[in-house]
Amino acid sequence: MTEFAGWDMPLQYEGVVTEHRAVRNQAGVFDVSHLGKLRLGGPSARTALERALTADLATLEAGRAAYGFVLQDDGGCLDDVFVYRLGESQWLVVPNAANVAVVKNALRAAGATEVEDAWDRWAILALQGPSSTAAFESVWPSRGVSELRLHAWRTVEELGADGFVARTGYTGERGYELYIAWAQAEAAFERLLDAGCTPVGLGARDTLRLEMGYALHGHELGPEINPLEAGLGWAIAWNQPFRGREALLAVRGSGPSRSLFGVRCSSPGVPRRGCEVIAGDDVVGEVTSGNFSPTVGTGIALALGPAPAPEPGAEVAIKIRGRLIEGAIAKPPFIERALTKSNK
Amino acid sequence: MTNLPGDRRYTRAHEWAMESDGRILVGITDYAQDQLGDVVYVGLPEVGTMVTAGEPLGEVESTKSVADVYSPVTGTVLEKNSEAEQAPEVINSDPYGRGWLVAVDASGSALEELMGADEYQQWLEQEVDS
Repeated sequence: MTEFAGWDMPLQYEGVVTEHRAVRNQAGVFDVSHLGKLRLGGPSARTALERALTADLATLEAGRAAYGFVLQDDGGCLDDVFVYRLGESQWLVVPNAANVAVVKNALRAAGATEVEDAWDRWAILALQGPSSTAAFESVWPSRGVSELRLHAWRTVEELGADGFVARTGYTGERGYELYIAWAQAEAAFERLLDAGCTPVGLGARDTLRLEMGYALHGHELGPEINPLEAGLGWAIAWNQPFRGREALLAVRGSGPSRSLFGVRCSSPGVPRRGCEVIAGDDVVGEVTSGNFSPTVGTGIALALGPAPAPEPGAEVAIKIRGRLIEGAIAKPPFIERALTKSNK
Repeated sequence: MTNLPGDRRYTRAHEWAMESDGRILVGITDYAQDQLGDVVYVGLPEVGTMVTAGEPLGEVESTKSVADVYSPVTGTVLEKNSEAEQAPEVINSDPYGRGWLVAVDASGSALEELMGADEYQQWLEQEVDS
């Protein structure tokens, strides 16, 4: 167990590599109830969300979710969130656990009058992996989850009042996030384990997202790192009057001064946050996240450095505690998975 | 319950040392590998390197963290376990056997100064309780 943003979280159950492989090859279930849950409603909600988030509210229909950022005036990133449209004028914003208060304040500052911290309304189980649909259907048959499009959600009565299942996740695999009434969550977790799912902790959650090159706030995004530097311009609705828009438009105009890139190691060693990335005699970046990739079988890293980043394939070295590890620039994702193919 | 063979000596930093064919084999304990989790990298000294009792001889890194391995003995590295370098998971699966790390020459080492299995067991209980 480990302490994470005030929550006691399992770092691992059987072991990070075993859990990681279970998600890539079958299905794993994560307890991610620590994620923030801010519910917005009322006449002011839509306008406030447009001012607070970069996610496109105009195309976000009820029954769907979208990814976006909460920015500062200077374009720095206060958090990255998913926003679910629960009804005609009801939304659920899901921030990182450590940033709930910051996001709540940003929503209020943007004019939202009804913001409910609904942390105790749902537990959240992430069910991820190629067998996740089969596992879900063996526990709750005929709910139509196989037809759910990416980022769509639907109500599931058995998950309790307000319970729903969404096709969202953080692993690159086909998968779901189950928003369940707390009282039913433990039984649901047990039933998924009985259906053959492997319990997965925070350790593998991190190695899985890293293989996909997904940003983690506090590493690849932060108040000092704007979304264009992180290569996430696709999650910005430029027509929307979100806070930080002017600054970000200027960055877009001149091009970001830094850019995020991937490194795949070719010699043994585990790159970690803060390690320098070196090409020839120059430091070309600093690792923001790094670990051993169970799928690739070597160390992999995301790194931030002056733009433009070296071309994919360029040889670099990562300095790990004084030792130079060989590698090459790689464009994330580091692996080919369900969500990198055409079957989105 | 952690596995503690009686045929070798132990350190407070969770290494083991055992005499074998006139050399001292060195590795990390079952408790150490369990605490680290999946070992994904091991850094070992080259053959011929002088190592000193109580000083780092290499490092073992898991998906979670990195730990120095302190030499239980003073001497010269005669061999390093290249299997463990290439497939570090052997340190998890067989820490007292195929997961050994280095072989050191026996001269100048005093294994009897290290802890026996019973003493190490008591040390572990203390450390886990504290």
